[in-house]
Amino acid sequence: MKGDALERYVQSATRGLYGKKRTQVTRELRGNLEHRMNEFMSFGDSREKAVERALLEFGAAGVVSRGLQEVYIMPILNKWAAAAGLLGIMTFLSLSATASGVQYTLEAPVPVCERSLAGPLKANSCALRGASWLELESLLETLKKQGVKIERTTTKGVASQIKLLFPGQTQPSVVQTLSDRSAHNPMNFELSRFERGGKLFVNTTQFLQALGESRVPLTVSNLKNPKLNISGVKLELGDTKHPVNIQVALERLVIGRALSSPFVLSKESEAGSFEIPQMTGIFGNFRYFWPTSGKVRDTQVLPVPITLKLPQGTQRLYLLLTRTSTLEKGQIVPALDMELLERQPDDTLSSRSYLFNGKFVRNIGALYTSDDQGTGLLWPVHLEKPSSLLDTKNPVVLRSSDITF
Amino acid sequence: MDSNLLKGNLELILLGILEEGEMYGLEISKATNARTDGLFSVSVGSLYPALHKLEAAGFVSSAERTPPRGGAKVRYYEMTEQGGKLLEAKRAQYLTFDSAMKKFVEKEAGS
Repeated sequence: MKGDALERYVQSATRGLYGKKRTQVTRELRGNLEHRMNEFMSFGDSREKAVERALLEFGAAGVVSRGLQEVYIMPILNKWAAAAGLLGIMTFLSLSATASGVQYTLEAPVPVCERSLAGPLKANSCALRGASWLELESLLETLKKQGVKIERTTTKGVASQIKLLFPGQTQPSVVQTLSDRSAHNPMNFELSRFERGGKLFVNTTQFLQALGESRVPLTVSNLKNPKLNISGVKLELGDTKHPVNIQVALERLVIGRALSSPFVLSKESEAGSFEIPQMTGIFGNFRYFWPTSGKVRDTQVLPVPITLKLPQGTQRLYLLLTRTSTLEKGQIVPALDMELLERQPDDTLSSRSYLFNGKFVRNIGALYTSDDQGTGLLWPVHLEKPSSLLDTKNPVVLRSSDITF
Repeated sequence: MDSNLLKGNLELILLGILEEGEMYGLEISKATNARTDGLFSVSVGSLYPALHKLEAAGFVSSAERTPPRGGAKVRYYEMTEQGGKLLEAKRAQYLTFDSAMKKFVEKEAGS
């Protein structure tokens, strides 16, 4: 059993690393541990005692894992982010402005949803952790000062989108300021945009995605309070008091780009590396609030029997949804969409729901799990039999070398 | 020993140890503890991120092989020429810092 403890330690200490690097570090750790164990045993310790002492001496596996991920994984994530092409922004409670002059807020405008089944959630609890919204006009002003050309489009007299042409670029980044999704889609938990005090706020993630889609060159220096350089235009997001975290935004871009790119995912056996909690069923009664119309609607989410074994350290689970769905009024859901579940303080993953009583049905195309180090696994899913969603034996590891931006 | 002080000088410590010759993780940990009479207790686990970071930057190189006394293969680390230059720079940097700090310590002790 103590031998298992050694293996568990090694697995845990190398978590987040992939491929040859993980194999190499695993061998290295195991070799050193065995030598230390042999030393203890030569002084009379039993094997069990020797394992225990060696592991104690080596220190916490999490510390090793985090340190190694900083060396090997964070540069990859930053590379992805840079290649994906993003943009940055800021936020503040009642409204604060960053060094770049962009006003922002971290405060969701309304209680976006409530969950009655497992007890009510507090207001704003359905807003994404780390979500932020940028005040549009101050953002545009900041961009304009740095040479970004701005073109506003109106539809039937209402501002519908804004095209941003960054210096040296020919393809504009299009920021939607009004859309069907925003107005009618009850799944719009992230509140792409909302008005407060006569000002329009745009979700940072949505804004970054607009930039990613246009493939404007971008570099990102940090996930928390990032400094962005978009084709020479500089933006600093967040401050220490009201930090902006764009990890979720980057993950969404990476996943979206990965799934839409002509590349082949490579499979890597992770057998034995999953212990973990099980999550059974994602369902509940939800109350939705349409910020644009002010209407509230109650709805039930179809109970879906799902059992997932999640990799240890998983903080977020993305449900990647395919395009075959329709809204009840006949609107087509975008080709690829994602719903996000985040680990809650009570150590469960809280759903934002994705299936509605047959009126609104979307197919789950894949799952993507990620930890707080920015690494993750992509899980292929076929929803022909909802009760057997996952092929838990064959997760697919996303590697930077597999993705061409 | 304040772990932050240790962490801040970990590169200097590791390169100073590897200056003596190639070693693997366990040996480096022991050498560190021995050279400082146990004042610096560096766990093997905490060494790896630092060693891999140094290797990624080209300051050390590594190769896997069986130790002379046998047993499982381990990864030996060796300081590169570039690492030698970094060591000298870190030493100079530290001595300058130490010299400045002493003035505060001595002043305080004398007051």
